[in-house]
Amino acid sequence: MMRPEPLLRIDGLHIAFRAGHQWRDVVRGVDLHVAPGEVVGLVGESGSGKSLTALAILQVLPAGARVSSGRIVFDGTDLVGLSQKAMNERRGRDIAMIFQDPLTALNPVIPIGRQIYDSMRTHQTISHKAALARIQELLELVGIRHPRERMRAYPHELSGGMRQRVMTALAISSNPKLLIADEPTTALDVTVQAQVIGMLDRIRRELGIAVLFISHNLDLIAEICDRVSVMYAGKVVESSTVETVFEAPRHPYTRQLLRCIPRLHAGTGPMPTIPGLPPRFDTDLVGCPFAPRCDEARDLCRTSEPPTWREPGHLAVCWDAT
Amino acid sequence: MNRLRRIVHTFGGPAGFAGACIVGLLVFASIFAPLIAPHDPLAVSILDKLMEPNATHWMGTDQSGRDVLSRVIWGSRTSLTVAGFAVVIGVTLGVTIGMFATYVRGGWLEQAVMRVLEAVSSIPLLIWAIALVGIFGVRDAQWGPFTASSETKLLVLLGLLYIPTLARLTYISALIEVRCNYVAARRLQGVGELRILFSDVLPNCLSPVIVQATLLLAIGIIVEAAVSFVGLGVQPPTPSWGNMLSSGRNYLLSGEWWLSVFPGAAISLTVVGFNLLGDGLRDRFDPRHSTSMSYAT
Repeated sequence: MMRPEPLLRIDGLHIAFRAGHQWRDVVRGVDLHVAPGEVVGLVGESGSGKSLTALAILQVLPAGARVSSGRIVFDGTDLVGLSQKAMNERRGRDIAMIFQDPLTALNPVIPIGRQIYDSMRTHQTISHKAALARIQELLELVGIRHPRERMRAYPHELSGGMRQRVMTALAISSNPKLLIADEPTTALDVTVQAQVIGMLDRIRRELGIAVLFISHNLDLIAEICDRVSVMYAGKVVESSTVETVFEAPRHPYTRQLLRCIPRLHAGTGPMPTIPGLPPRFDTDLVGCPFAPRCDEARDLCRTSEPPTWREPGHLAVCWDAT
Repeated sequence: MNRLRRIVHTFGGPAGFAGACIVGLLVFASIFAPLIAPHDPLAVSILDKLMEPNATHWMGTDQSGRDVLSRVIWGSRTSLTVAGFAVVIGVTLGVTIGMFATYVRGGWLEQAVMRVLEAVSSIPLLIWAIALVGIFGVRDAQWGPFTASSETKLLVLLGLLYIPTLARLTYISALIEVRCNYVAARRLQGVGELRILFSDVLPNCLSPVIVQATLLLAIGIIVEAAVSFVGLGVQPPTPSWGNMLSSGRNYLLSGEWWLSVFPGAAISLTVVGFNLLGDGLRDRFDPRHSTSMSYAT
C-alpha cells in the first residue's frame, strides 16, 4: 500500500533558546508527519516542547528562540527560513491555529462577526454579502445557535465554550488544510470540553481538515486522534496509532502516563504519579533523559543514549523497546 | 425614564451627564452664535459704554459700549474653536506617533521618539505656549497663499503641544495590548504587523485617549484664556473670554464688575463642564470603577 504524501513532515527539528552567549537545544530532534485529513495527537508534560513545535510550524517562535536545525515541510515547501511575507500567505490560509485560552484570544472591542470577517478578508476577496452568509454558516457549523444575532456580540458576552467555538470558526474561515489545536479545552469546564471536542471532531470530518492536536490529556487524545506522538524532554519517544499506543505501549514513559489516567473503578488509595521532574534544559543529558524517573531503568539507560526502535507504523526510543 | 437612565449612564453617571449638558449648551451657543446673540459683538457705541446689566444688555456693556452677553456668546466660538481644533490636531498626530513608537518598539527609533516627547512634556504647557507665541508673534502670519490669524497660530501651537501627552498615553496602552493573545492570534492569521496595530490594537487603546482629550479641551480653554489675557493670544477686536477678562481687569477696582465676572464665569463653567464629562467618561470606560460594573459581565 502506498502511503499518501504527508501534508506536514517534520524532520529532526531542533529548537534552541539563547542562554547567555550560547544556544541550548530545547526541542532535540522531533520527527512528525501528518497526512491530509488525519488527526495526530502530540502529548507530553509541560515543557516537553510540544507547544514550541507548534509555534515553529507557524514560524512564530518567541524572542530568543530559533530553529537550529531540521526541516518543516508543509505541502512541499520547507517553512524553515521562509520570508515573513511568504509565511504570512500561509498563516491562516493553509495553517490555522486555535489556542488554549479562548478568553483572551479574541479582540475585546470588536464584535465576533467582524473579527471573522477581518480574518476572511486577509486571504480572500469576497463580497460583503457572501461574507455575511459565510460567517453565519461558519458559526452554525461550530454549533452556535442564532448566528445572525450572535454575530453582533462582543467576546465578553459569550461563555468560554462559545468563545472557543468562535475561535474555531475564525480558524477554519479560510479553509485551512491543517489546524493546530494547542490544548484547546484546557481552560474550559469538563462538560464543555466534551462538547468542544465533539464539535472539533465533527467539523474536521465534514471539512476534511488535518489536525495536529496538542494536549496533556490522554483521554481527549484517545477520543479524537488517529495517531499519537508522545514527547519527553524535547523528543518524540513513542509514536504510533492510538490503539497501539494505548494497548501495547513500548516506552515506559507512555506506560507510566497511561497508569496516571484516573479510573472510575480503580478503588481507593493514592493516585498514581510519575515521581520526579523532567530534566532541566541547562543540564547536559547523558543516556536516556527519562532514566531518572523510569521504573524499569538499567545501568545501560543511564550511560548511553537509547536507540530508535521501529516497526511499520510504530516507533519508540528505548533500550527495552524490542 | 429608562431611556434617560441609559443616557445618564452613557456619560458615567449624573455628574458626567451634567458635564455633557453644559458642553452641549456651549457647542449649541457657539454654532448658533449669530442667531442667539442679541447684539452685534463688535458694534461700538460710545454713548452706551459701561452700562450696568439691564433689560437691553443683560450682562451690561463694556468700555466701548459693546454688549457683553453677545461678546460672551461669540467668545464661546473662539474658545471652543481653538480648544477643539487643538485637540483634533493633538489626537491625530499624538495617536499616530504613539502607534509608530509601538511599531518600532525595541529599536533605537522608539527610544529617540519617546525621549524627545518626555523632554517636551517636562516643561509645563502654559510656559511653552507663552514662549512660543512670543517667538512667533501675535500678528497674522503669511505663508505663501495661506494667512494664519492669531487664533489659527494659537490652535496649531496648542495642538502640537498636546502631542506628547497623547502619544505617550497611546504608546503605553498599545504596549500593553500588543502582548495580548488576540494580537498573537491575528499574527497567526497571517495579518501584517502594521495592520494589526491600527485595526486591532488601536481600538483597544482609544478609551483613555478619549478621556484625556476631553480633559485637554478644558486645559485648552484655560490656556487660550491665559494667553489672550496677557495679550499674546486672540487679538482684539475678536471677542475671546481671555481678552475680555484682560480688558475688564482695568475696571474691576472702579466697580464695573460685569466686564470680568461674566467671561470669567463662562470660563469656569466650561472647564467644569469638560472636567465633569471627562471624569464621567473615565468612570464609564475604566473597568476598575464601580459605575461600569454592569458592563463587566
